[in-house]
Amino acid sequence: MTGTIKKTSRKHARIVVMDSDKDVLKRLTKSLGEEGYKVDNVEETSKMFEKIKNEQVDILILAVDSLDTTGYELIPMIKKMNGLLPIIAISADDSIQMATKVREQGVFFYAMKPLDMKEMKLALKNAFKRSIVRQYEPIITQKKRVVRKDFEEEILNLTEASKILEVSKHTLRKLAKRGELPASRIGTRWYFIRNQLFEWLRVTAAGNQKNYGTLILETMDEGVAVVDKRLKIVSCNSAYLQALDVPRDKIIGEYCYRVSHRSMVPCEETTCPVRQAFKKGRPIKSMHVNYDSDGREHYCDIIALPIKDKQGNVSQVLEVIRDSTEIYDLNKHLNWITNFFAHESRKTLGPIMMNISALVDNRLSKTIGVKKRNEMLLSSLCSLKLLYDMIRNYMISYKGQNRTIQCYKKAVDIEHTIFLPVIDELRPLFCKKNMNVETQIRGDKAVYCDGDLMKIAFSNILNNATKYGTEGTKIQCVLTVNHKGFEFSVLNEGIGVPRNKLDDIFERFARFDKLGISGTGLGLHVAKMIAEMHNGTIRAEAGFFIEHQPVTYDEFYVNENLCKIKEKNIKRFARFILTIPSGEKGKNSGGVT
Amino acid sequence: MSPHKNILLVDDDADFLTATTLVLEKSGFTVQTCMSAKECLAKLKSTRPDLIILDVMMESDHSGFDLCRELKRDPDTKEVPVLMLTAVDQKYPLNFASAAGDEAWLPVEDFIDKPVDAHVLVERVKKLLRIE
Repeated sequence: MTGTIKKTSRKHARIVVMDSDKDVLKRLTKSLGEEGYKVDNVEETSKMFEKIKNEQVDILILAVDSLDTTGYELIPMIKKMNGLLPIIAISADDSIQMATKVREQGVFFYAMKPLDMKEMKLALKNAFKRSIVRQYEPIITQKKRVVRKDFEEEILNLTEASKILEVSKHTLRKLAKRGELPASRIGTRWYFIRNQLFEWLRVTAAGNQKNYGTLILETMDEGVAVVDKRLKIVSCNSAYLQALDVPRDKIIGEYCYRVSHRSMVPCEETTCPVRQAFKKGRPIKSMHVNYDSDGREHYCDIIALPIKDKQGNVSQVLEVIRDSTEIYDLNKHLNWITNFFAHESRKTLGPIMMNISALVDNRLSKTIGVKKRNEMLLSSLCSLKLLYDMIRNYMISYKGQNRTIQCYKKAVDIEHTIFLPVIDELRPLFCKKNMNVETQIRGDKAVYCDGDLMKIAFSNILNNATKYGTEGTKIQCVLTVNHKGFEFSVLNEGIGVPRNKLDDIFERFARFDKLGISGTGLGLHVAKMIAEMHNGTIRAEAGFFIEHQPVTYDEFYVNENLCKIKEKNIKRFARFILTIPSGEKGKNSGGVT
Repeated sequence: MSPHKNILLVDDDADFLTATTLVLEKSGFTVQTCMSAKECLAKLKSTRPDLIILDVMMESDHSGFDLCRELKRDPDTKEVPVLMLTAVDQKYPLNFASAAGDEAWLPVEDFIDKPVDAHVLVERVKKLLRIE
């Protein structure tokens, strides 16, 4: 291999000499030209950079003393542009400091002026050899060693390159031979570096639309394939391969339905966007549900864009696959939330509208007595409260999910600023259901917590007890406060909580079919969220009333005597217990998990 | 005042039942209420209402659609007009068929969006019962 390079080196090596000393330039040009090197002289830094950037340069001879600024400072910049370019530094400054500085930057050879031409020629010869070897080193080592996957992508043979560029092998070989294309020859074969090919494409694309198209396809995030009239895939980009998880050689020339649907027959013309695009000659969009290897649903938008020939006939169709699963999921959730709230609000507004419109209706209102009128107003007020609670709870749970809720803790008198005001606020609800609230308060220490949030938690728990409590019964509230924190428990007689739902009841939007009671499944969830923000807990207990005493399911089912009682005949209860430890002064926490 | 007409009101929202019952009773109708499809079917065995007002989105055992289909299939109740209450924005009866997921959907006599004004409800009820 070295032989090949030796043979061609004198002819092709291009050297750029950067020196402001015209005498040196003259000497070098003459002497190296005789040796067969092609020498370009530059006197300005900008021109040197231009040449390195745009032309094939094999070696750079840089006079590090040629500039006002110290020339060796240019070396890192040159290396950034072309890391493989060997640099021969020349200088009239024979100080050790200079030599050290130049060598620190890493040059191939450092020569003193006046130049020893014999030494220079030897240096150039070796530099050129290394330049060539370095440039093609990846190819050589890759072909010799076991094929590594990342390399496989990088290095292409003639066939692969011709597929990517969509030109014949013959043309490609011709271009490579003429040196118009970055390629290297090992033995009789040509090899191409993928990135270099695309870079070349980018530069030469202006006059060649077909290649430009290939490049655009490759830069797209979406999977894109070109399908011909027989529904065979002519070309595709890497994203398409990735989306379908198939190697390139198994796709090109294959029927699109075999690749994308793994089906042996084409899809119905009416449902296939590609066939529709061929037929109608305009872009067609559709949605497909694909399943990945884990069985997960993937919602894919498929856009088929017709490519027309000069006569206006559709010759090919560009198929674009976009995985929109995330957007579909979000959309689905948003739809659900919107419908949920529309339905819940309308439902809650139902009795309000009915009551108020009856009260303002001239004919109807005359027939309604004072007692009935008050009942109707109270009922409307309660419904409005429900609506307000629903909106408030949703906002808090939404903020909690986005971790945008803040918890400002300060010393709070739980009894007087939370417990009693909440009971006052809910009085219309108790009144409507003719329920009695029994309160028991132990201790009176202040607790560090967020008073506003805690009020919401209390309100939600009590609201829940009222909603699911039996009319005319009592709600028993016990508040115990001490230096460690507080415990708030609410017990009500009613439909209770099924034994297997005691934990689920705190889930967001948890709802259990309960006759005649509308709930959004947010109140208890929000209460739990607030408890967790305070490092506290909330739990549910449920069971039966035995001789006016609450007996939990666990206690009930282990007692043989009690088990004999028919469940239908006993009253049920539910109890919610909120336990909050006192926070530390000045310590606030934000967000919940 | 209208002659004695019996209305069966089916809705799982207790507050709505109370309010609507009051409005209908004050308008001179006799109202029976039930909160589930099961209860409604049981009640229909003993009474024959002149009109059934039915909520479409009941959360209990049967949806309003299922119940309505059952009523319209049964020769005994087939002739009883049904006024459907919805909390879903449905403007055309055709969409209703697809919402019910049934091509052969037998349209109800009328339907009203919730929330509804008292006098609008009474007007529609009167129209269905052919009361001037």
